[in-house]
Amino acid sequence: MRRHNLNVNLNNLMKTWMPKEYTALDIRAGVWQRIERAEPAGWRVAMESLFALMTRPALATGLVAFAIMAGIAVGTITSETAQTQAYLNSVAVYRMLP
Amino acid sequence: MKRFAAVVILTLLACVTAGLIAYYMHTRQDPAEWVGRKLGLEGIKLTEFTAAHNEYVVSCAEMCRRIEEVNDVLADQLMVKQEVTPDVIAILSRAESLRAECKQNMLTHFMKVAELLDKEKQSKYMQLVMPLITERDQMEKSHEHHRP
Repeated sequence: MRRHNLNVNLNNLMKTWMPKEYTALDIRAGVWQRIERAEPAGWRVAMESLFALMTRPALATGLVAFAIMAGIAVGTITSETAQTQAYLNSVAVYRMLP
Repeated sequence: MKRFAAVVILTLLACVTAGLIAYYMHTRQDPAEWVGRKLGLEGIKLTEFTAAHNEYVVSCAEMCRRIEEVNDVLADQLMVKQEVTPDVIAILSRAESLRAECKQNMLTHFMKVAELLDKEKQSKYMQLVMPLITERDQMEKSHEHHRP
């Protein structure tokens, strides 16, 4: 009885099932999508190699040294502007008056 | 990824710290002394440069005080009578002549300290300070919108 019921259910399901028709184009697109998913993107590979490169001790040390020099340069240039402006303000106070 | 983040943070930290130290080291000097050194002065000439500056700053502050006094008198006058009386015109003239006197003192000071410098540095110094004489001041700038 149970088996009979299962058969009826299966028959009903088979009647309502509408198989999707796959065209050759769909299959090709699907294949390419799967290939793309399997391979990491170009930029990702590039970033990963850059990360790996930057964690090398020699390169990391060089990078920190460069950052220190850049910081000194920026600090010096900014301070020069600030000192020059402070001098000019000190000799021309009247210009600040309304 | 963690090592990369550590390298980036360390790099940024080093850059900012170095920048702040450089900025502090340069700005802790007196601006006049710093300008003097920048213009190649050393020893007695540098001392003369800073002494002349300090002397001038005192007289400059005195002139500013006088201008402010005149401005206060003008404000008081206008509070009493809201019209352009001969007194108000006289006070305005007084304020303008004080400003002119200020510029004259400034120019005299610039000429005096420029004599301490080499020819090349003299022109560099004058290029730096001349806009203070020739450019518009705060009051003139506030009327900029009337210019075509």
